Amino acid sequence: MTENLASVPLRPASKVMRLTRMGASFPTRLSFMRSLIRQLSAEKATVTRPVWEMDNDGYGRAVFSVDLDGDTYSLIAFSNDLDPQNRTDRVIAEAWDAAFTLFDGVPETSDLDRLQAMVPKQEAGRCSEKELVLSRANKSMRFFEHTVCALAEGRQPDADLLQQTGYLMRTTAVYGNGKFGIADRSKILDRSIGAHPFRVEMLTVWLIREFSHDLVEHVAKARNPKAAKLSPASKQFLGIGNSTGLGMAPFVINHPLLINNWVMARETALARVLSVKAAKETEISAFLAFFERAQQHVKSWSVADVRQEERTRVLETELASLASKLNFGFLASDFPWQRVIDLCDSLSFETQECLVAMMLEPYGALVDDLVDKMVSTTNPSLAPAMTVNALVQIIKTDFEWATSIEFDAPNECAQFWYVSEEKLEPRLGMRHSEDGADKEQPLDIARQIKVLQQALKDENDENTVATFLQSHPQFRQIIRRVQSSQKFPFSEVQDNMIADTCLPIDILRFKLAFFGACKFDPRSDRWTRITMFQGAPCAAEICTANASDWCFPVYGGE
Amino acid sequence: MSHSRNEVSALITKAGVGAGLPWALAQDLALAFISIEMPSIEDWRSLDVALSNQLNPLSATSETQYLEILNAQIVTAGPATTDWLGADFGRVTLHDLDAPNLLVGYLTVGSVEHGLAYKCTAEGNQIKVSAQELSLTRNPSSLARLEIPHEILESLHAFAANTYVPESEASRLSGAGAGLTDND
Repeated sequence: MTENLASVPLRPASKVMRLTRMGASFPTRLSFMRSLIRQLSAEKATVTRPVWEMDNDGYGRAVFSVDLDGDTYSLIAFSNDLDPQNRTDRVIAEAWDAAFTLFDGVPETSDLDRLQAMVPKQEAGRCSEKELVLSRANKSMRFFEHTVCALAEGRQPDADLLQQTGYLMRTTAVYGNGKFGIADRSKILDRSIGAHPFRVEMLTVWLIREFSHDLVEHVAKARNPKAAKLSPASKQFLGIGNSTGLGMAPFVINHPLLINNWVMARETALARVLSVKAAKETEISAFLAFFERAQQHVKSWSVADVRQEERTRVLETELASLASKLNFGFLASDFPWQRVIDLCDSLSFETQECLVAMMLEPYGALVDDLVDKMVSTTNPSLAPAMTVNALVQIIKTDFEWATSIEFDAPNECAQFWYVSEEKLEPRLGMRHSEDGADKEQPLDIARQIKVLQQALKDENDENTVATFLQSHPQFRQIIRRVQSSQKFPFSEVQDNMIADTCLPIDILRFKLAFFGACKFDPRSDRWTRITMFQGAPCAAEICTANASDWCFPVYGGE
Repeated sequence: MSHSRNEVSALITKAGVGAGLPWALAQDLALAFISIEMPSIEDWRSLDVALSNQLNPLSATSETQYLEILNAQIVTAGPATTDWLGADFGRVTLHDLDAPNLLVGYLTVGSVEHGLAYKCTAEGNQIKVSAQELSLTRNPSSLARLEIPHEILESLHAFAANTYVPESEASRLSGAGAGLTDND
């Protein structure tokens, strides 16, 4: 393989870490859902349902257990009757259609009783170190009820409605790492499920998808004992929805080394593929098949949000225009994938990033090992012996994107991030017209770097960082970030997070794409719905299906 | 009721900011505290002291190898100590440290960050700290859960509340960018 590879540099951070491009991210085969499914399939994981205590309306509790790498994990589900008036996907919600926890092991009845009193309360309850993840979901009322009726009448749900909605339930939060009393992530760090980012959370969501399938069939059967079951094609296309808001954005800013590792893996994968001198026929065929499927997928991706809809339609048009050029002849030449990248360099970011995802697909053997390098358990370190002069030079060299911003201009500091008193919901305010900026969250990385640069001007060049920090301790974290940038080049979003042009939706999409989400459906510039695991193998076929082949999902019909 | 280390870290960070510390010092305080293997009641009270004392500029004098910190406050003196020793300077003397119990937390974090082992000696109101290269491999976060004494928990929540922005109708309706119901 190595004889067929040249050395290709990574795309620079100044290109890939800009919000506009991050906001056009697509899931790739390195995404966390994809790598989880590969692990489940490789281990021939078996899902069992040891508890199913549901009344005819589908209210009650259930347990789904799965063995993974020698450990058993159990999704515990509590399904409740919810007044539609109280159905909100926001953090301020206090009740949900269903609440879940991922339990470390197999729960006893006493565990279920304890958790039944706590898990439905979510943030207001208390969990223990036996629980690894806490989550909740609301039904897509229209589609859930439609599917119950259809199955009870012995038929499948309407294909158009199924494709429009794409899920029966959508999660509105998936909490891990010690939140609300659950186990710290350190508990599972030495297990395979803990050695990959968000794998335990993704496992939870995949099992919630199984629950949603079983629940709709259960309610249909209660209405008619001869009710149909969801067809395998319907089940596979039905993912699990998710509603995500501002809370996801601070995570990206607050975990610079982790984010670096995610992007570094993707960019390394791309560089490896671009370095392929000659593509094999099978690789070209696979790419062209993915390309065709991606076109169908994009055609079926239609949302109410004007900005996203316009971008998606441009993507659709550009893919159609590329289709006539990307053929066997074009791809049979030297360095075919570099030619593809060059060809789409002037096209929209949506198209460019969609093609990046497509190009990685035929090359699992070349890139899949990179998923093992996407985790990080450390924080940026301080180098206290560094001189002020050296620090100044790093800022000058690597942070021009931050220091060139004029923060005195009202538009460059128009927004501020804060936490509301009400259920501690993350929110974004307008600095010049709303109260609360004195309690701003420190997500203004660019501004902090600029302030640091100013402060360093008065300092002796030969002084050390250790000495500087004695009189300027407020700069400890930003100096750590600046110093880390040389070793971790993709650690910073290279944009102004408080400018009036900052759209949180771009950050949300970036992170959700790494999760493996698709069908981004923005509800505003700071809130989006997505679909997870759409097209992924279900539990029944995880051992037999091609675990890698479910990107750009398209409904296969009956 | 036990808490996860991550939960305690987040709460101490917010409490630190709510008590008037810069974010950077609040984050370091949180990381230092959760690095203490099994905090005693005195450690928790020291945390409350560290948060309650008014923050003053670090009062330090230094020669080439030695740093003296007078009227030391742990929230600034702890980081200054590990920075000084991490920069390969000789020794730090802390005078009248306000919350000496918490020093071990800062040194634990420093040991991981800088690959050092520390030697502390206490004489009267002075603590002398020196270092030698010796990387500790223990992951500070792989520790047992924490039981926060009730009065300390209340104090932490009270400080943390200072970081929350009070509700307004405008912020409720538009601050999160989403509506109030989601029936579809």
